[in-house]
Amino acid sequence: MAPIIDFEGHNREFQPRLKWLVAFMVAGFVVIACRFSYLQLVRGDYYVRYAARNSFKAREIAAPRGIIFDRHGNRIADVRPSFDVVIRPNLIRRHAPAVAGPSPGLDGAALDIGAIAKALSRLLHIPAQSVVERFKSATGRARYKPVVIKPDVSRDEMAAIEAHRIELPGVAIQVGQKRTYTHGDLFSHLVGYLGEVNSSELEHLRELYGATKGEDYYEIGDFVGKYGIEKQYEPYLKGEDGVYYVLEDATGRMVTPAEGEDGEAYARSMLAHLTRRGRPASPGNDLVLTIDLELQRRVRELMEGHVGSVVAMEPGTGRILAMFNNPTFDPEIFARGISREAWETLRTNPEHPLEDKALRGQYPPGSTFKMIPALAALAEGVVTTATTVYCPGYIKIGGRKFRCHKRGGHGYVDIRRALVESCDVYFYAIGAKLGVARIAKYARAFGLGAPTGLGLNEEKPGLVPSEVWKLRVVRQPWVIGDTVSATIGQGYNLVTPLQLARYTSALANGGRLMRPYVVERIQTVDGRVIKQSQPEEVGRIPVDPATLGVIQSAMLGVLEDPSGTARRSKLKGIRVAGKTGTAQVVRKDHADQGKKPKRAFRDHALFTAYAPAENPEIVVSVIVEHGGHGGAVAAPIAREVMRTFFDRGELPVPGDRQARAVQPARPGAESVVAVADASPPQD
Amino acid sequence: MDRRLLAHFNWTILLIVLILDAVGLINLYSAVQQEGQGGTSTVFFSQVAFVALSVIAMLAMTVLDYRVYERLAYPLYGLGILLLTVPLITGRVISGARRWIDLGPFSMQPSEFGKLLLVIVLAKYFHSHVMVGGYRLRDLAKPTMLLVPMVTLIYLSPDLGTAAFYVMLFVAVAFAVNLRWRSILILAIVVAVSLPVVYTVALTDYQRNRVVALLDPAGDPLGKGYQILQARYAIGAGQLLGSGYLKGMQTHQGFIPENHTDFVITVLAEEWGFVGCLVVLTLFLALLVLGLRVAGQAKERFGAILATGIVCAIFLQILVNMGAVLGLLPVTGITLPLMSYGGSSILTIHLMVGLLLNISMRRYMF
Repeated sequence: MAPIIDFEGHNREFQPRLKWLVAFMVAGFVVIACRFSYLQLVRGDYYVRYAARNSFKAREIAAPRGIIFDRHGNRIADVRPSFDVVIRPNLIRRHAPAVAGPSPGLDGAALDIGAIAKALSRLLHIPAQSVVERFKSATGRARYKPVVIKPDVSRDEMAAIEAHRIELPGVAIQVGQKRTYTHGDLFSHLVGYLGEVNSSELEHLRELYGATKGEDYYEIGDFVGKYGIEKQYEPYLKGEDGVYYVLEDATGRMVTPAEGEDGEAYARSMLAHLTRRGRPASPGNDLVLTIDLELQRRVRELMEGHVGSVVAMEPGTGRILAMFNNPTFDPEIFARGISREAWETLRTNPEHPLEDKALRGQYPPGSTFKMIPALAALAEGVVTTATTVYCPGYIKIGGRKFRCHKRGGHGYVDIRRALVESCDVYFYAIGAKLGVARIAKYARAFGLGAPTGLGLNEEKPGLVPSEVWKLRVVRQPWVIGDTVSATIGQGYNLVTPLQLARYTSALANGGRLMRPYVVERIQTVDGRVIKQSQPEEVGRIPVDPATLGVIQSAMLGVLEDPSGTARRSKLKGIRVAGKTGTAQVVRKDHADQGKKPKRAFRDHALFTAYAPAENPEIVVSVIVEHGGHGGAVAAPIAREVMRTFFDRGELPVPGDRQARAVQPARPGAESVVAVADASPPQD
Repeated sequence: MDRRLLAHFNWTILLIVLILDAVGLINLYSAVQQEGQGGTSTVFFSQVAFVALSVIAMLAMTVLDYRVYERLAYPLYGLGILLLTVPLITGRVISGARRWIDLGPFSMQPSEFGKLLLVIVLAKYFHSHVMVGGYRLRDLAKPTMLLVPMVTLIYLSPDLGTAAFYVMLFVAVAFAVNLRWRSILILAIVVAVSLPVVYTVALTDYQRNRVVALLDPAGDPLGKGYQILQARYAIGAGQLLGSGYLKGMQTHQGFIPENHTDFVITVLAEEWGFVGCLVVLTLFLALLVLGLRVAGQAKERFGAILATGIVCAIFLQILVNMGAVLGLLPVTGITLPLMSYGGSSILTIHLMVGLLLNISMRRYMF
C-alpha cells in the first residue's frame, strides 16, 4: 500500500479495520463527488437556466397614507393611486461601457445611466441631470429596488414610457399612492403638505424608526410630512409599505413559469417561498380633527381680500374649530416639485403666504389686551368697580403726555366704560399704578408669552415684556412709559392669533387656561381608536368669579352698549361678548412685525369674542393686518363666523342652546356714531 | 515543552484545518449576504471569533498528554450527561427544540461536545476491555449502556437526526475496534428489517415528511421538497466553475433556508462550481486519511481508538450533511464540519483535531 496508509504504529491490532475505514471513506467521497458532477456537470445547463437567468425581485406596494377628516367626517386630506416612473439600478450600468459587450448575468441589453437619463428627459420633460442625481442618490440601497424618477406622471407620459419599454430596460411604471388635498389651499398651514424626504430628514427618521421598523422604513424618494399636521403626525399617518415578489428575466420583465415539469415545480417553489416572505401594505392611521370644514370655508370667504388670521376655538375644551390664514398657498406644489422661481415668488411675497400667521404671526394685541390690566387692577385692589378716572383726551405720566384715541376725551369713566369704549387714559392711569410686573404676571397666567402647546409649526411664544427682559434684550432700562404702553397692548407686547383666542377662552370659561388641540383622535383604517385627545386644563387665572364677571359684563357691553366699540357686530338671538383692538404698526422699537416700510402703514385690526355670553360655545379671534379699525373690519368677520356657527346649530357640543336663544338681545342704539377704537402714538 | 514533541508535530493536519477554516469563513461571508439587507450580518463576525478561539483551543489541546483523558473519561462522560440534561430543563425552545444552553450572549449546543465525549468514553472502555479475536454483539452490551443515556437525552430534546448520528458513531467505533464480521452481518440484517417498522411506528409526521421529500422533492415543491429542490438548483447552477464569489443568485436571494448552517455547501457549490466542491472534498478526505494514519501510528491502544473515533465522527458528519444537501439522505440537521455556522460545532471539531495532533506528536513518547 501507499505510504500514506502504511500504518507503522506500535500496535497493529486495528490495522485491517483502518484500511477498511479508508476504503469506506474514499467510497463515500466518490459517491458525493459523483452526485456533484451529475448535478453540476451533467444537469448544470438545465439548472442554470432557471437559477441564474431568472431572478425573483421584490416589488413594493405603496401603503396609503392616513386620511385626515374634519370633525364631521369630511375628507380634508385623501389619497389616490398614482403612476410613478421608476428605474431599477441593477438593470442599469453606472458608466457607458468602454468596450461594447454583454454585461455579466444580463442579456447584454443594459444601458448606461447617461443614455437612460437622456431618453427619460425627452419623454418626461425633466432635466437629464436630475435623473442621474436620483440614480446616484440610491447607492447603498439594494440595487434591485426601484428608484422613483418622476412621480404621478400624466397619461401621455405613461404612454410614452410604455411605447419605449423595450428600448429602455430597467425603466418601469409603478403604482404609488398620492396625497391629495380635497379642499385645495383651505388647510395649507394647518394640515401642511408633503415633500420628498431629504438626506438630513432621512437620517433623523432612520434614527427614530430604523431599529423598530427596519432601515428601509424610510427611503430616498419617500414623501414625508414637511409642515403642519402632516409633519407632526408623520409617524401615525405613514403606512408600512408592503412587498411582493415576481419572477423576472434579465431585462426586468416578468416571467411566467411554464417550461417543463421540473422547471415549473422549481419556479412554483420559489414563488411560494416568496409569497410567504411578502407582506401586504398596511395603511397609515387616520386623523379626525376638531376642525369644522364648513366653518373653515366660511372663514376663508370672509377673509377674501384681507391679510391675516382667524382662529375659532371651543372655550371650554380648547378644541380648534377653524384656523385659517390669508393668503395661503397650494399644498400640492411641493409634492410635485416646485420650481426655483415659483419658490422665490412665494418666499418673497410681502404678504407671506407661507407663514402660518395663526401660530407664528406675532402682533401687538392693542386694546384686546385690556382685559388683563383691568382684571389685574381689580384683583390686586388697585381699583374697584366704583373707581373712576377723568379722561380729558390725554394724561400726563412721568412728565410725558399720553393721548387717548378719543381726542375729546371720555369724561369720567369707570372700569366697565373704560372697556366698553376702550378708554386709553383709564388704562394709562391704572397701568402706572399696577406696574409692569403685575401686568406681566396676569398676562402669563392667560398663556401669553409662551407657546400654547398646540405642537404645530414651531409656534412662536409672543412676548410679555418685563424689566429684566428689556435690560437683557433691548439693553435699555425700563421706563414708566413702557408700562403705560404695555397696559394698552402696545409697546413690546406681542401675541399670536392662537394665543389671543386661548386668552379669550379663559375669560369666557371662568378662568381655566386650556391647552388647544386640533387632533380629536387617531384611529386605524378600520376605525379602532388609537389615541383620543382629552381637554386639558393647564392653568387657572387667580381671580374670583365676581371679578371675572365684571370683565365679562364689560365685554358684553362692547357689543351691546350703545357706545360699545363693536355694537354694530351684534348677532340676533345670540349674546356675544368681545373686545376690539387696533394695533399700531409704525413703530421705531424692536418689534419687527409689520415693519416693512414698503407695506401699508395702516393699523392692524383685531377683534376677539365669545358667544353665547351665558354659556360660551365658541371663541373667535380675528386679526386683519393693516385692516384699520378693529370694530370696523375685524368684528364683522367674527360676527359672520359666529353666525355660520350658530345658524347651522349642528355641532355636537353638549349644552342647551334653545334656552339661551330665547333671551332677547338688547336693542342697539342706531343713532350713536361709531367710535373707532384706536391707540394714538405715544410719542 | 519537549523538543521531540515539536519535531513530531503534524504540520500537514494543522495546515489542512487552517485552510478549511479560511475557506469556511470566506464562504460563510457570502452566505450571509442577502439581497435587500445591507451590511454584513453579525453571524459572520461571531463565526470569525468562534474560529479564532477554536484554533487557540485546538493548539491548547496538544499541550497536555492525551492520556489524561483516559483517566478523566468517566467524569467527562458524567459531565456530558449533565450538559445534555440542562437544555431539557432550562433551555429556550428554538424552532421547536430545546437543544441549547443559554450562556448570556452565546448559547451552547451540548450535543456537539457530546460527540467528542462519547468517543473518549468508548475509547476508554474498549481500551480497558481487550477482547482477543474481536468483540461479539454481547460484548457491546456494556458500552451500549454508555450510549443509551446520551441518545435518549438527545432524542428527547427532540433531535432524532443527532441521536441517530450518535448510534452511527458508536457502530463505526465498534467496527474499528474489531467487531466480528459475523456480528456486523447480524447487525446489518436487524437494521434492514427494522427500518420499515421504525419508519411507520417511531417517526413523527415531520420526520416522515423529510424522507418523502428526499424521495420526491418535486412532488411537493412548495412544502416538504422545497429546501432540497432549492439546494439542487443552487448546486446545479454552479456548473463547472461556479457563478463567481458573491454572485450566486440562489444564495443571495435567500431562497435556501439554513444556507449558513446545514446547507452551507450549496453556497460554495453555486459560487465555485464543481471545481470548488472537488477541492473542498479533497481537503476533507486528506484530513480524514491523515487522521486514520495518526490512529495507525499511535503508541498505544487508547490513542489509536480515540483517533479512529474522532476521524469517524468527522467523516460521518461530512457524509450525513452532504448526503442530505445532495438529496441522497434525509435532512437531519447535521452541520458540515468547519464550514457551517455554529460555535459549538466549530469548537468541537477543533478540539477533536487538537486531540489528533496530540496523539500524533506523542507517538514516539513514553
